[in-house]
Amino acid sequence: MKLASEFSVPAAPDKVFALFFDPDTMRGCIPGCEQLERVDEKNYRGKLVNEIAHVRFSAGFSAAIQTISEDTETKEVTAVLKGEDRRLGSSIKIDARLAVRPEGSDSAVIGYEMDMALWGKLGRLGEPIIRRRSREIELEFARALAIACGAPEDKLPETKKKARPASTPVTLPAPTPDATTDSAAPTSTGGAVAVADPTGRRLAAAAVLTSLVALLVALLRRGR
Amino acid sequence: MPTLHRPDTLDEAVELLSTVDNPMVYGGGTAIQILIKQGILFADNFVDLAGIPGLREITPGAGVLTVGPMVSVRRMETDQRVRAHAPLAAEAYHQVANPRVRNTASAGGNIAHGDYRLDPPTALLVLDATVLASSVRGTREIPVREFFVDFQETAIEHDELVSGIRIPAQPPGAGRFVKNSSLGENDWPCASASVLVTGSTMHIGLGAVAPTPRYVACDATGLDDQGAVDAALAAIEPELDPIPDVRGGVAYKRRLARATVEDAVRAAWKDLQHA
Amino acid sequence: MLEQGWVGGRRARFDTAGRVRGLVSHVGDQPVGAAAHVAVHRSTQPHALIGAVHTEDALAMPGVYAVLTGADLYKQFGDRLLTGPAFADQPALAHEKVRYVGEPVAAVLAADLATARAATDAVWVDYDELPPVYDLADALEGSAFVHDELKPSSVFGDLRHLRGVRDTNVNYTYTLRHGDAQAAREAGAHTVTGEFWAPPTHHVPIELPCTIAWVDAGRLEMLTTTQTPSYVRQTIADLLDLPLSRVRVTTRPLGGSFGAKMYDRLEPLAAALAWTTGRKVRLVASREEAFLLTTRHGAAVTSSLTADAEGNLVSSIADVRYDTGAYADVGPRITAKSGMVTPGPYRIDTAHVRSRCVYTNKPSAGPFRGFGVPQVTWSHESLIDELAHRLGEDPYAFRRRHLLREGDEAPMGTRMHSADFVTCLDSVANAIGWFEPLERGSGRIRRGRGVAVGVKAVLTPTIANAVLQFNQDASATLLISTVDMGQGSDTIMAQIAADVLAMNSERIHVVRADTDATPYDTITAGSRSTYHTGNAVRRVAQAMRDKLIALGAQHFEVAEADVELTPEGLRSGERTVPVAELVHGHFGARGATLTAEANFTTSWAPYDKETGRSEKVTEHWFAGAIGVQLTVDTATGRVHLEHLAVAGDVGRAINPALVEQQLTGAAIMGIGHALFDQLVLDQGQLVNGTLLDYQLPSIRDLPDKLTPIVVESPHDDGPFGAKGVGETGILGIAPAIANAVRDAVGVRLTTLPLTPESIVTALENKQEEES
Repeated sequence: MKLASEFSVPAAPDKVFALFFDPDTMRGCIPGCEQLERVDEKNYRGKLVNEIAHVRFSAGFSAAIQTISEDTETKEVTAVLKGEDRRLGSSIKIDARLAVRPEGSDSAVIGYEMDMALWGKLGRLGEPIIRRRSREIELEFARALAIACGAPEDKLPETKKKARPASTPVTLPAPTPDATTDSAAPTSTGGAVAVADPTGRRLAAAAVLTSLVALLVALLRRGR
Repeated sequence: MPTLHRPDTLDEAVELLSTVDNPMVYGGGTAIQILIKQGILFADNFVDLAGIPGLREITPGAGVLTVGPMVSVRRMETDQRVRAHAPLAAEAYHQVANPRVRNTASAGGNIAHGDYRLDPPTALLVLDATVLASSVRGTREIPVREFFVDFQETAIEHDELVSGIRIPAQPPGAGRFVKNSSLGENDWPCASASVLVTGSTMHIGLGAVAPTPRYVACDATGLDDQGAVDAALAAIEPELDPIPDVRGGVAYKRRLARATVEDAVRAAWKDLQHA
Repeated sequence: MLEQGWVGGRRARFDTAGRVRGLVSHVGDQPVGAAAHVAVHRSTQPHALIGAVHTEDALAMPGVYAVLTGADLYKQFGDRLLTGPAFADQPALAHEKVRYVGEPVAAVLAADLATARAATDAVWVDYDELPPVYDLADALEGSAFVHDELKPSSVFGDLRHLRGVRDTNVNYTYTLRHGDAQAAREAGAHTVTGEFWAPPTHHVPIELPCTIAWVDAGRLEMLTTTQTPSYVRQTIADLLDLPLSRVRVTTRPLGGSFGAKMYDRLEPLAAALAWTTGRKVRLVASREEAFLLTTRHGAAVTSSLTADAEGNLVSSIADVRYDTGAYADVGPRITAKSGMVTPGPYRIDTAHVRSRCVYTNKPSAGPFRGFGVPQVTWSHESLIDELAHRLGEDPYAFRRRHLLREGDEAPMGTRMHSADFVTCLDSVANAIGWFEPLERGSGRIRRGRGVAVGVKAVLTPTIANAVLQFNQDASATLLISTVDMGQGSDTIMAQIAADVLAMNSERIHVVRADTDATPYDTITAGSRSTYHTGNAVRRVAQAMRDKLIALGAQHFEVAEADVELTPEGLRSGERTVPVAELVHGHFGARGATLTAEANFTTSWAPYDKETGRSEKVTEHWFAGAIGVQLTVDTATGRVHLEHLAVAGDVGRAINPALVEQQLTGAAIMGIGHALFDQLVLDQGQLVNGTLLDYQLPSIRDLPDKLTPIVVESPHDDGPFGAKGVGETGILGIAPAIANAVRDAVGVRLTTLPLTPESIVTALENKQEEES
């Protein structure tokens, strides 16, 4: 399965590119990333813990940097990412290429291409789910990265849709706490994070993809 | 091994949902059984609604039909009250899967599944139905147009269950449901559309062409059939957001969505001429 | 009425009601008592070395008896663990490395199936990844190899030269050279070329594969869903190093198979586990697992067909690549048998075919109704259709002019007999109204017609045996090892014997295959049973008739020539004695039996090493033709079949009703392959391997009208002139439909299936080119 997209962040390419190799920044940017450590110069490993639809899960992953080229105007890194969910007898492998190029004076475009293999039980039903869920992750990641680059948080759109439809209690007036609060939360992007291709926006950065394994686990355990 | 609970009352059922670990409501079972057999469903507790009296009832009210969650899809298709009250809904239920599935699947489970390809939601959207969601906190009404939140995600909270669907009477005009598959005829739909033309408004419910069922409306004042088709196609354009998969790529699914909507609009227009 | 049950009679198959109502019990229905239920932990890597296999957690689960790995079995069986019908390359559990996603790595034995399946999730494996070979291009590029070296089975002399060959993914190459096809192509006036692709598909029989194996008094006994009980007995005897007499393989009626349940499926693993643990074991594949057990070969064909200025066919050239997946299975045989008919059933001056069987990191491909021939028919029937269009000729008439006739030598060197392509083609063309004007449509819906012809050889050489017990009460028990999987073999075998013995066919019971009792029979496959086993049955019935007549001659005290066997009994002149009375008189006992046995064996002339030709490559040919009229919705790309006619030359129909059903069933299966049925793989992962996503024809995909046509051109040596029919109807379906699409909307598609998406894409490309 091939995925590709690009989006802008409000920082110079040098700065953005360096952040990719900083475990602390990435841990904060990758949705659900609880552990991320640099094993050596080329290798990272971590753990994703996430909660979707009230189900908590965790999955281990590793990332191995294959090539880095940062001398040209467009900086590029390629990496292989792997994750495994034993309970579901499934593994994931992603060949990722991530590039950062300048856009105007103080802005950069992050582009990515992924070739993702999903093997095992999940592989036979994962594609539509992955393609859908990955958009959400891209938004979350892009927002977090923009903040890491110094963008003011309050000007960024909310990403995770906590919105619940307005409800009309008929027997007991007991809607959920957030049921009536932010139903108008924006779901489109704007502000400082400009997503270059709003309909095609899918994924943010290479490391993010490993969280897909975990997302799938949660989704399927919910049994939909 | 998951535990199967068979509550006798709705109160008991919602109590279970709020107390047991990782529960799942069991309706007709047509979706759940498949996932169990595939070894990818990990619910710890099933709450089976089959034994609760009253959940299989279709109750007429003032201009509204209230459908119990365990009413079978087959009955939604065949029940004279549904056919008289909302023929478009009956037609959409009629085209679900196959008779074996329709005999088993429940109307509540169907929408709770939340799949973007389901047929009935397209009709419920244009008819502006309301979903009743019950929990220990009571029962709330969710307009079906706000029910499908995201890919296989509905507005139902984890401790809630669908306790009914309220369908307003279909207003005078013309309604048509059309669906197309891209592979076997009997496969999941690749595009489906309910079109309801009433007064000067054209309501369109779309299935399978975006991560959720979608609803749009547009003004049809003074349009001929071609004008109506053009207006409908313009109205649905921003809503088309198909997920590429083995059933087709984005471009094909968009094309099929347009062909499906066009067929439904033309059929509805023809009905209006002959009405 | 008696004749209804004889040759040519339309007797209803004896088990229809039982099959429909679930009263016929299948292997999976058999109670097993105290047995270990087996589930399999499967690979999550397409190509990797196996490090440690962690089984401790699974073993610790309550109810788990044992967990065995490929290494455990290899310790016990050594290289005997590797089995297969052509190459000994297939381990019951992956040993040292895994070669496809979903390959069995460890087997869990537990008190019940749910526990066993749960425990497989607790097994995990350390892998050391190898570069994957995802498709034919990867495989032929040749930098990574699915097998380190080729391991042809020791049984086959013609594969011996391949033993130990390294650094290749091509396990077998068949080459046909007839004249100088390249020179003829260059000299020819008109050449059409194509790059054809037919995807892998799955058989999807209703009944899931199931095997029960146990050890009884030092013998390995097995009840299993197989089309090949005699083969399985040999394989298990080899695996366990036992004499054949200590292995027993039995079957029940199969609930469909189409090639899915033959050779090495669940049986070697079941036998190895039962033998190693001493437990009775039961293996059943889930629907999702069944998709991984075997598939139809995906095949790529690069081909050309050339005509001279007069429209004579002068050259056929083809490069055929069969993707056999991780294990060769019967792929090398398919590669040769199908490769040799790649030019099609036409008079062509020269032909050159290279047909290769190629390993990839995918689930293994094996036999499937048609045995590789539909994939090459897709090429030759598209090419000749396009050539006719190029020459401005009618595609029906152009084919007809060039079709092989009785006595003609086909490009691979064997003569045609009892293969009436012309009548088949004429009858389908007539049926669909080919010669009448066509209302083509002018708007969104366009109409077209297409025809196609198919040719296939029967599996040769093979061996069939039959034993007949004639019971004193004038009933009979027929012992053969043909497996009735829904095709109706038990019914027609009884008809053959009843016809010879002038008796009621319903009084003949056909014993299901049991290698302890029923005699050797090569396999139930390749449409061979009617001809081969049917001949053995005819012979055994004749032998029994001779015995009865001899008894009659004794009874009447006349010469045997003066005694006749009739439905009323044995007759000599005016005198008649009922058979029951005769046999009772002979033995002086009720319930006694007379026994006869017979054999029928065919032979062939092996392919010439240089040219790939043979003067007798097969015992007989299957000839079929398809005609179709359809519409194409140019807005959605959807094809609607208005009328499909399927004709097959069956020599002589033993039971015309069953022949029509076989033609019809094959046609419906072929419609799926033409329009939407395919296994979709993404980087070695099967992504539509569930019945939610896998596409099979439903009643709503059938043509408005489906006409089966029985053509009878009797075979000199067939039983009553008969030949088989199981595959004839499927050969030409896809090209006939594609040819009709070409006729309707003017686009030539070369990749199967012809999805609506592929049709609208081709239409858009055509519009772009024209504008």
